[in-house]
Amino acid sequence: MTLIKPVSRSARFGLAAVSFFALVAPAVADHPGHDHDGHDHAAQDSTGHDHGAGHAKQDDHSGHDAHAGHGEHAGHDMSQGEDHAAMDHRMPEHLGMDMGNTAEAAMRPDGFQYKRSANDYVMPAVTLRNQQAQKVNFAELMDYDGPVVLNFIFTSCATICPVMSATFGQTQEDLVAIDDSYMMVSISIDPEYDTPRRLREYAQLHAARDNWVMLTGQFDDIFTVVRSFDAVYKGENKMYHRPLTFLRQGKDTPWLRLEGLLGSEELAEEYAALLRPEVN
Amino acid sequence: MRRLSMKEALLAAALSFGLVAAPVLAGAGQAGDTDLGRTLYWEGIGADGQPITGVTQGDVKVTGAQFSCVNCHRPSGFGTSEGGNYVPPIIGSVLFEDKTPNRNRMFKDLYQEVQPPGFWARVRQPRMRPAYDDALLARALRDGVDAGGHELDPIMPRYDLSAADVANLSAYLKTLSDEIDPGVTERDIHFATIIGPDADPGEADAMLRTMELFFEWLNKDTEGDTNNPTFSPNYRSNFISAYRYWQLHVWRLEGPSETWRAQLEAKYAEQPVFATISGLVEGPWDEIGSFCDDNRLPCIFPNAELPTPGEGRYGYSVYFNRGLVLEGEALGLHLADRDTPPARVVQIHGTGPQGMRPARAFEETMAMVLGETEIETVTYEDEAGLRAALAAHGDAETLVIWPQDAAEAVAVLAEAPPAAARIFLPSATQTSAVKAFSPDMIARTRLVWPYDAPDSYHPRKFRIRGWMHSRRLEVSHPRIQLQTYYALTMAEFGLMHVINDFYRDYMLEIIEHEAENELNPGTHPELALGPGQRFASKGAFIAELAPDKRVGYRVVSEWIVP
Repeated sequence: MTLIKPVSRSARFGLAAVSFFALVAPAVADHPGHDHDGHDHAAQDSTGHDHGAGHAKQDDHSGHDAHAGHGEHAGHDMSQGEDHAAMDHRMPEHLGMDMGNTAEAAMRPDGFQYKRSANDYVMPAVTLRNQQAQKVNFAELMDYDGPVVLNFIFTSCATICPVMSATFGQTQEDLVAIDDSYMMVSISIDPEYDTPRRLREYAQLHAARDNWVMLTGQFDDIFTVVRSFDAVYKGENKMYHRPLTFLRQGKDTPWLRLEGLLGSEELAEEYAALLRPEVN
Repeated sequence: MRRLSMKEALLAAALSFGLVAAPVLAGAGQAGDTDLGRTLYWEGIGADGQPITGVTQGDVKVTGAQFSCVNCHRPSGFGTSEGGNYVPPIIGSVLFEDKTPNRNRMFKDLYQEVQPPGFWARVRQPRMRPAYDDALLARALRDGVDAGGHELDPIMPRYDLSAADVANLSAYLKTLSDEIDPGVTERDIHFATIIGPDADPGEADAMLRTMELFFEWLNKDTEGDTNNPTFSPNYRSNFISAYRYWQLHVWRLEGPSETWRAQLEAKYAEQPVFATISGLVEGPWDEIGSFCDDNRLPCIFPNAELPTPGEGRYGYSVYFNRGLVLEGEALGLHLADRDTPPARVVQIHGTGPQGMRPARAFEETMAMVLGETEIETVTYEDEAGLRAALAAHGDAETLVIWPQDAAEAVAVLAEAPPAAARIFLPSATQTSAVKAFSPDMIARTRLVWPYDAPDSYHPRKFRIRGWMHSRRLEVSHPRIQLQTYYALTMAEFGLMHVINDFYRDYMLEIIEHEAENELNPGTHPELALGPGQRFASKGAFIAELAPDKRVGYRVVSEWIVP
């Protein structure tokens, strides 16, 4: 199986995905406003953050192994080799022509693990709106010198956002118990549909406390924030977004990036470990 | 609406309790109630009338109020994929059969869309399993173990379900996408397009020429591909069973809108169609919309200024935007956003729906955002009435006009320009106003513009223009024709992913999913849907008339999303 150039419409059934990709890739490549490509690696490159520093502390984290090594994150880079292999080869990641494409990977339920990495992100000074329809300067909001727990969602999202939001909702109590100075932020990637009113309803559905800020805004501003968190999704289609959760201890500390769905206890433990590394 | 169905569900639950309680105690094997199964699937309400509860991701408690089966497995039951989470189909014909290695089935999965590596690994090495029965289904739902003994992904909640719940759900799943929808034969797939009696003949002609040409070329491709079925570059022969010739039926409506429903039913009975594509209807879409909903007939992106009011979530009509109501709301927000909002606004509107609906929307928005501003509303019946209204109120500082007939209003305004410092008009007046208005009138006029700014870049627009020019299609009404092309694209791509599972819900779900890809024909800044969403574009600009520009307008505000 190789990437075949779309020859004609004659292949319109067989090449559904491929022709979509072909449509999307050249389209965004010369799109002046959005300089990301149709797949992950290029997207990460184009955001301009440094892979060497940014993903240096990446590791696969399994929910099954009871969080054995919380204190060892910094030096714990066992899976780096595999990751770099994926970075180096030129096949787009989505075609799955990589070493991760094994029988073991196929049999493993995806949802029990997530990837973690530490990154420095620059908070853009764009104006968004919160669920009370008030204007919020995102950089100023992020100037808050306390812990922040952040994700990207949209209210009509079918599959992963309801789970991510339920996780946030349920974990609030635990976070309060650990340290209630945190701020929770959910940013809508469907800002035009997610009006402040819809965000208020969504907040109610997930029993959001007052320190859970939901943000919407102009599409370009939202996308600026998405890009600054290296959270771009394919073809600018929100339906292709990934489950990402970001945690931060204070305004000058790096962001902990968690890629994959988390359970409530996992989120609480990540938060506790972030705030009190010496305890673990 | 939701309240009612809750009540119904409770009532049904109470009834079924009496009927089903005994067999539940007796053990498994009782016949489930399809309606209760549907309530469980769609609303997350169990047989006892309470929201069901479950646990996802190991320890996150969820209730049926937060999400239910339909969220992930979708109305069709075919599932979805999002963020690398592949949600498999759970329709009866899949669930209650063995899953065996099947090359064609794998190809279906393979070619759906861009996905992360874990997904591809799974697709290449799919898990086989025996058929489910009710006992195995109960185990999967409660304990997260599939029929083959494999653990399900943790995102699938482990639900606390009663035996009755499982039986009801099982009964409902067996009805889900169990029969190919009408309008499809072995050789053909039938589509209609609806043209209202008041549609502009030039616009209708431009729309139909675009559609006919699209059908003609699509069918030429189909002929070429199917004439040599064993010639199989790119695995084409695997998909031969999915090819259909597209047949277009033009449904022209006559007379008053109250009679449309009967006309549509008659045409549909004579020739069932799989969906209606595009269309051109002046006035409210309400009658047609309820016809589409009642027949579960997708009506894809009609050119309509007055969609059925409301959100239309999970309805069968999919629109570009909320039309004139959106224009009314956007104008209210625009006035509120100005440094010195007007103290008084005179609103003149026609008494038909084109006048009434935006006027009401404008008033409601103004009440919300500019409660202090005094709004005087004046209605008119006909041309003479409009003249009289302008003579009496034309000197207001801020004048908003929602005409019943845009061209008529422009003629009246051009002939006797009102003295108002600022005159706001709906987008439909643009083409005639830019020609008819004096420079002085043009300087004082602003339009609500729910379309794209003229200088924006959409690569797809050039491809479509190229397609049209190379086929000698005269582009006489660019917006109508580009919108029509988008509607056709959505139908084509929807079917492409459906392959030969010709279920309408499934096609609509794929349209929801794909609308946001770079398929925008350049008519609106963004076109995007999401699960259950039915309006692809959500905002509007304020524009001024610009006779010096080829397109005749210039955008003067931010994109306003009410």
